[in-house]
Amino acid sequence: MFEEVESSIIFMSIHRDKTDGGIIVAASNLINTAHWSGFLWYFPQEENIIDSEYVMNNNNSLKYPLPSSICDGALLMDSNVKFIVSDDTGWLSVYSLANHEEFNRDDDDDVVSGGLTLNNDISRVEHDHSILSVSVTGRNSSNQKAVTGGMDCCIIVWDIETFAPETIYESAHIHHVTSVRFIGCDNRGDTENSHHVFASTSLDGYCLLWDKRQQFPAKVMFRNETCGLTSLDWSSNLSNELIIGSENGYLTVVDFRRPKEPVYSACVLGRAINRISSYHHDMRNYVAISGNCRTLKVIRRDNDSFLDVYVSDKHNDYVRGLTWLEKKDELLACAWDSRITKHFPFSS
Amino acid sequence: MARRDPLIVGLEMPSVSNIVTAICTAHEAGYQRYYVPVAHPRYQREFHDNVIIESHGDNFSRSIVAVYPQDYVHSIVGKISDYINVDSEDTSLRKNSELVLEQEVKWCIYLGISAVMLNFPVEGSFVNLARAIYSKLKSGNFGTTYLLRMSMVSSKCPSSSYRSDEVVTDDAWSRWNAFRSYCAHDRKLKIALEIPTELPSDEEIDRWLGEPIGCAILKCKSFLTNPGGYPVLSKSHQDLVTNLLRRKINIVITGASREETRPFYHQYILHLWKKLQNDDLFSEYVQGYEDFLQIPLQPLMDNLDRYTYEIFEKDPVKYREYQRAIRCALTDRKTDDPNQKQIVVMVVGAGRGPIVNCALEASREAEVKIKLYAVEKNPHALVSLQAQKLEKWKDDVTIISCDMRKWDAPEKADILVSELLGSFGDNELSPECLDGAQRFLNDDGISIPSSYTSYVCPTQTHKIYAEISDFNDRDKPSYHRFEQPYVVHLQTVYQIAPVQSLFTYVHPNKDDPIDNTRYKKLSFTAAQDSVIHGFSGFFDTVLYKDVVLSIVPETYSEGMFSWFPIFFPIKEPVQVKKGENIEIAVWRLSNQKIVWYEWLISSPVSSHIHNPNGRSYFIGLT
Repeated sequence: MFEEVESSIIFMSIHRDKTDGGIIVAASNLINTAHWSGFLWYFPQEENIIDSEYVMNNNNSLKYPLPSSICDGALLMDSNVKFIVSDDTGWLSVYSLANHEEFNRDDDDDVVSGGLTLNNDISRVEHDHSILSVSVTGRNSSNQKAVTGGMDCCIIVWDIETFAPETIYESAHIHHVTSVRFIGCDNRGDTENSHHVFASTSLDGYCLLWDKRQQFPAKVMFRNETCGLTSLDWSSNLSNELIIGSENGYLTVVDFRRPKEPVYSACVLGRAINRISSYHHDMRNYVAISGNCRTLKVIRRDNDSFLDVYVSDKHNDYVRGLTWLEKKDELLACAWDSRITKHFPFSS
Repeated sequence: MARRDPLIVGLEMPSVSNIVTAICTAHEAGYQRYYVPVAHPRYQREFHDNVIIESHGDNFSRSIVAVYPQDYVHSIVGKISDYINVDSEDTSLRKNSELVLEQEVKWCIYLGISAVMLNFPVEGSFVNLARAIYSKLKSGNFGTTYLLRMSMVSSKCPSSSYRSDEVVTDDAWSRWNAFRSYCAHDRKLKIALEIPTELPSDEEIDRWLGEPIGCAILKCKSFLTNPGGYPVLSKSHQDLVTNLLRRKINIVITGASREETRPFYHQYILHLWKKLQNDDLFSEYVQGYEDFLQIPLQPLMDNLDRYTYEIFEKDPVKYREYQRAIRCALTDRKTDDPNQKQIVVMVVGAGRGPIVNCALEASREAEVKIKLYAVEKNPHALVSLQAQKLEKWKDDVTIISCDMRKWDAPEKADILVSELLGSFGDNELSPECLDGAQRFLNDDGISIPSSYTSYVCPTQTHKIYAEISDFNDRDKPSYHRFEQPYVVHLQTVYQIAPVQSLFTYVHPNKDDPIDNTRYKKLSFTAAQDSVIHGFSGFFDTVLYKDVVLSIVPETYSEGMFSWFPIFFPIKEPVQVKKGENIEIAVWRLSNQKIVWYEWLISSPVSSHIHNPNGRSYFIGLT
């Protein structure tokens, strides 16, 4: 059964577990089978899998089948690996990884491999459609929050501890919410805003900045009149800067102190940009981008220019997941061709 | 009890992991229509890169045979991917979207799925989308219905409430109105209408209800929870859903991601539907006639058939009121003189005799002796009259086989009773017939009915207009179908302004000379932005003093089903803005052989005069 299904697996998301170098990959099967299903993989050692042709042949991985296809995910905390996953039927779930020995439960749902267990801690459905994006506040902070947005045009802020919606913004946008990002995501600075402020993009062409403490919680950061916005990240270095990707391959930098007047904007991909992952290296700001094409790019972002510093066409299908291996200055990518690749954008 | 259309409740599934199990589970929960995505909602296709095209292959959906159980195909509505934007200003996005749309629609047609649903954009252009859909509508796959999904209130409104910087107006209906105009009011174009949590005004709801709604989508989030923990609707939502169910519009539940709660929503809709089911004659009779076009009867030119008589004779209200009117008239004529002469009552156009029976009953009730004549020209109906005379009436009734306009009566009548009214009052030539018959009415004689008035109002009705446009009579010129009125049980209509009276006739007619031609111009004010597809016609009649019958919506004689309204179409729909003046001119004209109507919309824009000289529609006098 598995053999057959695996032939069209496509990877959606990739997240690095910083503690021990493991990698979590979420994958989905979107075509040509009776099931539109999902999987979670855990690779204990990132080095082992890089550039392998098909990761499913890797025997060291931990594979966890899910009832539906996965849209996005985020790591919740560094110690005791715990992560949050959103799916196409509107469910949000938390999974955790633990040494098998720590559990004395005999639960069929848990998958055991090499002494490790993947455990579904909790699941909850609030969205009516695919949750396209999930973002969490700083991993080491208390009172951790998540924000989700999806095809139901709804944005929900969650309290992680109770796993209950804290605020629900119905009709937050008038088209799919494609991306949501807390200002303090990925441990970028724990400012007073980090638990309250997040940005969203939508196919309606708007990028909004949300702060629920305000009477009118949303403010327009940028509007693309031509087409939808598909991805978003905060600058890894400058917390006032948003980098926005559009359906027609434009990358736009906006300073939220001066909304609606982009710092810079240019076409960088020619196709919808689905992932933006910003990175700070050698005193400069970079972004890795991927989208509805085979190309993966690392772009140096100066005040008024974008410069391609690295371009790869290694994949045979859409590149969908991007994650930086900090300190090593390496980039991991996964694609719909079922492959994970490693890139060295800064080596000459 | 008449055959009832069963209740059909649909379930929308945003993304279905396993379609076979999903449909089976939904079926068990009571749902009978399944709104499922054609392709995975995130499976975006690009057609510009050969490596990717090769990598994706031809498959973009599920493998068919194993996946779509044949038994269910007819119950599936395919949802087109939401992310496409065929009106994108970006050429490559536009072209890619066109290809995705094409691919998914073709797949649905191949599978035999009868309806596809696609998101109608909330803002931006939709001209190219209209072209794409219209070309599909006209391409020969006439079986496929296109459901455009839109909310009753533009989702721009709730969305902008989070921001201080923008004031938006609700343009949901006007966008749809433009779209359907681009698609020439096609019959296979329908709305999948999302019911918002905050409902619009009653007037706006009425306008939506006049649109061709293929299904109404109800979010689980619009439900409240009752003390027992079950989903229920607020009063206003309940009224709306009941109204939709009465119109046999399928309700679709969306957002029920938790399988265990799904049956409750179905049960609640079923509960509302059951409350609607009543066994009265009216519901039984109108069943199946909703928006069904009928050519008006021509009782002078043609003889009615048995079925028509049978239906009309069953009306519980009409004959009760006729009997009351005759009784009142007899009571008024009654004197204390024990030797009072018999009151002569003539029933002209007696049909199979229902009014003859009313008159006999009224005479008994009023304790007044009458001499009763029944005049009928239809030889087939006469057979029934003769049979009743033989069995029941005996000498109480004299049967006359003659056209009332030609009958040489042996004496004059005190009361002349007729039932010659059509849906528009005078449209079955009651004025001409009664003018002919009043020769044998005493100078102080009573006519029942004593008067009748027609009413009109400007009407929006995509559905009926589309039906008329599709009327295909090869022998006749194309304008013909727009130049004749239709008798129709109006359901999917919106009355743009309140009705106004048009032509009145009083009997007996003492005018000299008698002139039954009429002309009147009426002014209406549009209650909101709308489109005029024609005007609806009604009538009311005073049978005698305070005894009235009415099919005017505001004064309807409840339970009466003898008449459906009449609808006069116009060839080109006219767009009208809220508060604008609408002018309708109607003529009733005649020559020696025929009577006909002509009509015209003269404001806010001018239409041509419809039916000049009765070229498309007339009522024969012989």
